[in-house]
Amino acid sequence: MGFSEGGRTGGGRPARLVIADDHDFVRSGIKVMLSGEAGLQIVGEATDGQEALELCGRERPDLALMDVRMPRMDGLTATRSIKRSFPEISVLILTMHENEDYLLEAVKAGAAGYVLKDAPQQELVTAIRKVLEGEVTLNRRLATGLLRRLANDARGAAAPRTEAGRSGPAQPLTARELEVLEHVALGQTNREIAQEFVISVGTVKNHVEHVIAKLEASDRTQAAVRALELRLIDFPRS
Amino acid sequence: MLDANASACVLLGYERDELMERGLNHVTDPTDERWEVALSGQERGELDLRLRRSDGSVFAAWVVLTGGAENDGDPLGVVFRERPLEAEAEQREQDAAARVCRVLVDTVPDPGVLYGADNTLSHLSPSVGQVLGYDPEELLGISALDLVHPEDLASAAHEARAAASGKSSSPLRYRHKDGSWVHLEKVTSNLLPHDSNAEGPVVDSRDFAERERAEDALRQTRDRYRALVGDSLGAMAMVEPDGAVVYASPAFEGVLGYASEELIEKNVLDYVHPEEEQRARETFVEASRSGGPVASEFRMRHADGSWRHLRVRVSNYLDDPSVGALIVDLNDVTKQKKAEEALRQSEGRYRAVVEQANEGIYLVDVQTMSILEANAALCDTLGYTADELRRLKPYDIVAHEPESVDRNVRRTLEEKRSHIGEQKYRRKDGSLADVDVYAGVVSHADRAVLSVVAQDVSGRKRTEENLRRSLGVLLALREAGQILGSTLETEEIVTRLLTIMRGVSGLTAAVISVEDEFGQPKIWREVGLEGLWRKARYASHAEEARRAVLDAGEHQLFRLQSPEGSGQLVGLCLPLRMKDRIAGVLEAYGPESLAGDDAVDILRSLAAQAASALENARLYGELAERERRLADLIGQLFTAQEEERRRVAYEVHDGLAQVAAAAHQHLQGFARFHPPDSEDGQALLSQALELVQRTVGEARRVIANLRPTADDFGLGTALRIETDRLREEGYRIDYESNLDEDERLPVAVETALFRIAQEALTNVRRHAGSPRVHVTLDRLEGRARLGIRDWGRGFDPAAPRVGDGPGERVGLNSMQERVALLGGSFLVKSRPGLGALVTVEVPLPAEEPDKDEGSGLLIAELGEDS
Repeated sequence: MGFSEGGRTGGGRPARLVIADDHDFVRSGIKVMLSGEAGLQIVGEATDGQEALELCGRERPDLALMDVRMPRMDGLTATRSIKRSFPEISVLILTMHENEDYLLEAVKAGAAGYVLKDAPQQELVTAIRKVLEGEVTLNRRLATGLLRRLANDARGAAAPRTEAGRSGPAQPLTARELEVLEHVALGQTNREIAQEFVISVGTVKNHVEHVIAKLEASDRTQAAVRALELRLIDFPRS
Repeated sequence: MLDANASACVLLGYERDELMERGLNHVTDPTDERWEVALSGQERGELDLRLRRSDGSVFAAWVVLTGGAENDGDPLGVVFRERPLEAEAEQREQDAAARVCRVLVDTVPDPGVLYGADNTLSHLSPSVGQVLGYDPEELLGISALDLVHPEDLASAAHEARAAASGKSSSPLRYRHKDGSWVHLEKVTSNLLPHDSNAEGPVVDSRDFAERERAEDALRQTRDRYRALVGDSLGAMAMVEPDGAVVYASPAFEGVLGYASEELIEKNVLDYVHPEEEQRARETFVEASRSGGPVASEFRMRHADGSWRHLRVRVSNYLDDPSVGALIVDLNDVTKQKKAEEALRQSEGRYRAVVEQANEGIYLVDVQTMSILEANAALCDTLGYTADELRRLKPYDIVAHEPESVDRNVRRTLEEKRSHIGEQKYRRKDGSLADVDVYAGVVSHADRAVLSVVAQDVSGRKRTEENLRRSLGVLLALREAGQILGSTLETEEIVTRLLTIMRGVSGLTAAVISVEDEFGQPKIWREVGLEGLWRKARYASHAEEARRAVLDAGEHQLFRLQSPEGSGQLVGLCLPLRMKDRIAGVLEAYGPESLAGDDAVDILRSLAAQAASALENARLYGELAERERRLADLIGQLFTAQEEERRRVAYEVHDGLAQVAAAAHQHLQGFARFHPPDSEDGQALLSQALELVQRTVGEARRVIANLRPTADDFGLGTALRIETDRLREEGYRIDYESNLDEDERLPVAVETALFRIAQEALTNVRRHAGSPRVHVTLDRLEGRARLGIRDWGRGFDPAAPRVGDGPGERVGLNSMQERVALLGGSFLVKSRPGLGALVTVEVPLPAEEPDKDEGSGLLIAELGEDS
């Protein structure tokens, strides 16, 4: 399945990416990794968060690969800004190691997930694809942990850490969509959800896409986060 | 004739010598045939025989023959008594009585007369003549009534007839020779054994004016009468001057155990104790020479063999023809003598005991309340001589109210013995002695006498007082030892030491001074200084003493006069020796008792204990301090290591790891797009890939467990991450900030504040047990403020943090250091039980230029113009 099928890219055009990292060899390394992938096209590079933000504004990529530690504006700040201004752009955080805190922050900031900088090529490509297709991008455990924390924060925090201006979804979610969303929040794949509800994968995907759209999220992870923040769903106490 | 006694001679009318020349047949009546029978020994016992006088007259006699056994050699003893014939007998009886009476009358000093049957005066005592002025011969044969005053005749006649015996009559007047009238009392005694016509009352006339003497004389008369007639209470004997017994009264048996008959013809001297025989002999001799009685004492042998003490009175009746012997009056005074001896001995013993007694003993005459005797111990106690004491009364030596003395005397008299109790007696020098007094009643001669024992207990009391004090001191020292050994808190040590000292020695004040950096003693701790006058310690004596102690290390004693002159204070300075140097001075101020040796010793020992305890405390403090510093250093070391590791990790993370990853990626790319042709090339590439992979792996390890810091996300985010983590762990923690989400502060500020926050939150986690934590980050006018508030146990910021691990102490210190480096302030407020608040403020530079790499981006367009 290529990138051109389904997902956002719809209609065969390759997905457009930007890379933001303050080290040039990191950028070139990633470029190397991604060269040869037909469905991916790198349309720009940024050396700091500010540049990344401007670049996204200009190029409107499908996905931004974002390093965290960058001068002038760090990756999370940039991610937030990008999500505020261009919510349809997905962001994947580039990290050197898996750290819950990092990742939680990243997800809260709006990232779809993360990918390790030294990941093998296939992993990198798969991660990007998944995001673009709206699939789960975080490994199960991490996802669960993160989402639990999110739920706690949502419950316990004095003020919900919503982005300024965001109140509720433009359109309310249907009951079915909420159900599916709950399972997304559990970290289940589309296939798993399809089996759960005894519906087709395609139907699940459609629900997920609708939810993403209604919540104005860029991907399923963000949709789950949004729903939790808005208390549309509560983290299932399983 | 071998021998004859005087009576025999008299009765027979011979001189003794003459009688010796005659034979027995000369004195026996030849006409009396019964003599032959008697002499033959056929009849014994009392025989009625006649004896012949020298003038040839014969008289009857009771005769007893003794001895003269048929064997020759045994002399015959003839004991005879005149047995006058009927009429003669009566006459003789009368004569004998008359003789006796005459003797009596004559011996009595008062005038006495004997009446004959016709009431004529038959005999007059010489004293009649003295009283009435007549010679006795002139009055013989006349009637006594002729001498009586006519007016008294009636009563005189009546009395004469009544012949009352022993009664004294009313005084009658008798005519003196010179014509005057003499008043005389009459006492009529009928001395004859039976009534007869020939009775002859004896009239004792006495001078009315000498009545007392007369009564006494009557007594004596009766005594004599008794002595003569054998009715004596004591034994009476008639003896020759050489001691031969003529007659012994029956009472003899009671005194000496011999029947009176046994003694006749025996010699008294034979019974006398050999040691006193000579004296007895001389007594008889003297008595025979003198007219009046002679008294003596000697021991005589009782029939049972024991010696009896006898008091003896010998009267001379030798010249009295009817007596012709010495009258010896004996009284057994053995018991008396023994009693006297015992008494003497016991008195001697008593005296010895009293004299040697440790207790003072004195005797008081109750009636006169004067001191009769006093022993040596009392003299010593009171400082008087015995003579001086005998001139005093108890009131003079008892230092209590006289009424109480009298009360005690009365009580003792009633109860016979009493324990008066502890009293104070006054010495000669006026000082007081403590005595324990017992009193008892003794009889001394025949007066009521108190024996008072006054035991000097001043010494005992002093000892008791000393003992009590020593015990108190001992207990205090023990307590001091316990206290000093139980604490290492210098404050406590010193305060307690000073308190103990005060208690033990009755001090007014105690001060510990320590040398300051200039070598001057400065007060460190004190107790009771408010009790001294203000400048007391600055008196020259005190200053010198302190100096001397510091220099020489010897204790110093001095005295201070109070400014009002109200008293003297004793000051004592002792060195506080720690190890081999004198670290300070212990000053003690108190009453005179402080100057005593034992007070100095006690204080010295306390000071030594305290000095060692202080030294211990100091060493411990030093040790603790060193340990703390060590812990600090170790903590810092750990932290430094930690930080270094982290720094390295971050550097690796930032640099090496990424480079390695990128290198790996490039190499992979190369391997994909430009695979080597040759096998060698491929092998080389594979190897290169492997190496790079390893590098990546190692780098991974290094950067493992790195947590995001403020560097990564910004201070605000980082704080949020931290607080979120704590919330995860269940703490109720919230975070507020007036910073925008993306707002950044200068890197150094962010790093420092983040680290501080981390430490503070770690503390919260470890110690506070707080239910709630509140974190704030605010940007204020020109500065950033970080606040962390917890509602945990809290602590006293000033107190040393006991039990803190090195991390905490390091934490607090390093926090302060960081902030100080930034020119900020670090404030910790806490109260036990109320939680803690950490407030850090750091100044922010006016502008916020990016200091990181690539600072300043110059975009210049190079145009044809420039």
